[in-house]
Amino acid sequence: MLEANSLCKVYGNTVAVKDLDLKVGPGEIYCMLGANGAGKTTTVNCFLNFIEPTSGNVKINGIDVQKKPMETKEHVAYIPENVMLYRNMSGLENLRYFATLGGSGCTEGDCHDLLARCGLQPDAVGKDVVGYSKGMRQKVGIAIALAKRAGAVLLDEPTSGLDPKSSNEFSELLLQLSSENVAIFMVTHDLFRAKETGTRLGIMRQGELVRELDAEEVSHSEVEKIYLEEMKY
Amino acid sequence: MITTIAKKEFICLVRDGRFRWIAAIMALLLLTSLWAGLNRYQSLSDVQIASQATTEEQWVNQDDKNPHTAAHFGNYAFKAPGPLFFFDIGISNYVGSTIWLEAHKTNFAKNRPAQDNGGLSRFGELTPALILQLLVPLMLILLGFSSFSGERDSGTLRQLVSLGTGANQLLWGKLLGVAIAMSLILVPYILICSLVLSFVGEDTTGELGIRGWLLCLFYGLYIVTYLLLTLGVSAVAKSAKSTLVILVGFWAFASFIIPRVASDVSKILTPTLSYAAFYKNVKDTGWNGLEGAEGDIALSRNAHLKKVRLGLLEEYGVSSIKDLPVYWTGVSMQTVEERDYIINNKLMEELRQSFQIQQRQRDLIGFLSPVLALRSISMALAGTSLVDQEKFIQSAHDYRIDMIRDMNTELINNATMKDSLYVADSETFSMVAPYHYTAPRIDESLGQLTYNIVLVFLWFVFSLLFALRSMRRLTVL
Repeated sequence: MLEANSLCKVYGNTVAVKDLDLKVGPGEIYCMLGANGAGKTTTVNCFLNFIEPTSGNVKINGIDVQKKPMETKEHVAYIPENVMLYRNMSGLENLRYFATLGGSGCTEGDCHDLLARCGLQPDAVGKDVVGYSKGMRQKVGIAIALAKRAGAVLLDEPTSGLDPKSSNEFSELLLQLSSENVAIFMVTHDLFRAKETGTRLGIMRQGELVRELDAEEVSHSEVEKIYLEEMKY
Repeated sequence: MITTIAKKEFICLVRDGRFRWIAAIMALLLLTSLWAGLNRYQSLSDVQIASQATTEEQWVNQDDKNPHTAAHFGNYAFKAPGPLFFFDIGISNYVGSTIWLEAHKTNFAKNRPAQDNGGLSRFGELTPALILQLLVPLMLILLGFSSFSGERDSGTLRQLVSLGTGANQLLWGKLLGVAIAMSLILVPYILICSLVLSFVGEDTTGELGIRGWLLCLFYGLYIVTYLLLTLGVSAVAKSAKSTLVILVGFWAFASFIIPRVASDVSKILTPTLSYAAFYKNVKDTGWNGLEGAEGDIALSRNAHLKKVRLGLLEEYGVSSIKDLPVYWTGVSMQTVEERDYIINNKLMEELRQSFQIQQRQRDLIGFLSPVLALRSISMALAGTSLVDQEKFIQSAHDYRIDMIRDMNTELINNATMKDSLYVADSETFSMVAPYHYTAPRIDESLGQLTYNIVLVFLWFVFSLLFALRSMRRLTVL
């Protein structure tokens, strides 16, 4: 479903991503770990066609992102680290707007259900986003992604700013999506959440995928140990 | 999808305090300019119409006197403003709207408001045209500069593009949204202007409606041009801040610097005579004859008069002007009037051509600024352009020569060299029909503005292509 083939991205003299080969199948939750500047977000940006790869390619649902960018976007939803919304519109209005643009004909009732499912307090739904906390905006962002009902989801540190309870609820949402055969690629610094939610874990360092782990085969402490070992280099 | 984007843009704009402030200021300025324009129109119209009636009454009811003395007493031609004067005063402030019509002398138009105003009037009178030409583009820039760059800065553009929203869909949606928000101010304003127009003045040409629609068309194109430029720059600029700097810089350059440069360059390239120099030239040419001309006007005035005198003496078979059955003084005065009229027209035509060359040079530089081309069209449609002034001057001069001819003919036929004390009364004076100015037809007004009309459309096409090209270069990061 999500596929990177020999993906390279170079900015001047800096190699952001080097020869990345990756496949995330339906129902799989791939959690990409790594320090800041490791190339995780660059990989996500390539999948979204926000940047062009220097070489290699990325595919969504078997379609080359660079060749048919608009077509691939029909199959993917995205949650950034900082979900940004229109400040003088309510959470509900934002969701309806983005959902309509995303192609899902969400009714007002559907939108209320989605926001509730993502944990947004009912009294905040109709209020202008200008008064929302980062966590509340994240929840609306998650609802936007869910509303699209896409076959693949790209998440760039989605739990950043969420309280532990909301993070936990979010993990449950991901597991639910996974059970619906959605391919999920999540960039995160949260080792605990990655181990809890992911089916596979990847560790990137200086643009390279240096380690891949099966989440079921390692414990929390092993994930932490391996990660720190990789970060020593 | 476009309507969804447009709806959201509109909602965000009208909820934005920035829009409410800008809209309130703009509405206030537009209404103030309308009120000021109407006042200006009404007072000038009242003065001109009343003055024309007074001068006619004074002419007909002047004391009984020699017709030539009456011609010296003179008459006035007043140019009453057209109904669209309230919208755009054009060059009216600088060219005068009253001409004194007297014997022997072709006068220039007087009563120029610019002469009476302070230095601040050089910045232009507050007219609806000025607001639409200068301030509405600024308003568009302030409302639209962050359309793309602001969304990129805040991160919402990533969200939009990740959903598969096309750049062109965003462009049309945003254009529509801002246009609808703008129309909240402009549509009621146009309706008020139309209402005002239906009450103000009379539609003597039957073209008022067409002129109004054409003004809407050209101003509409101008506004959309600025909107497309704003959105295009917003899409390619690095940040909302740099978008604002670029657009305000362009606005100042196009609205103030280029018109000033165009005006000065045209004056340097095609210098025109001052009023005093032109008048001296007319006077000297009248005495010395028009060089290169054919016929009697090539002769000096004295030689010309001698030729006429000899012709008359031969025609009537007499040896002295005292023996002529017609009044020689009257004939000579009419001869001078006729030759001066031709000479004046000829020199006036040269001056007019210089002004037109200056106008064309200004228009040529206008490709750098959308407002220059629009300004010429707006003045022409409002009846306040150079074409209108030229027609007024020419009609006043034609009227003058007819008036003088009537008086001189009366004198020639009723006085003799032996008894020159002929006195005419109001019956004679009323032979001169009242002066009436007829504004140029719309084809006359716009006839010389093909380049400007093409330029307005070219700016629109350029801005459209620029915006579409900017969409292809739109980046989200």
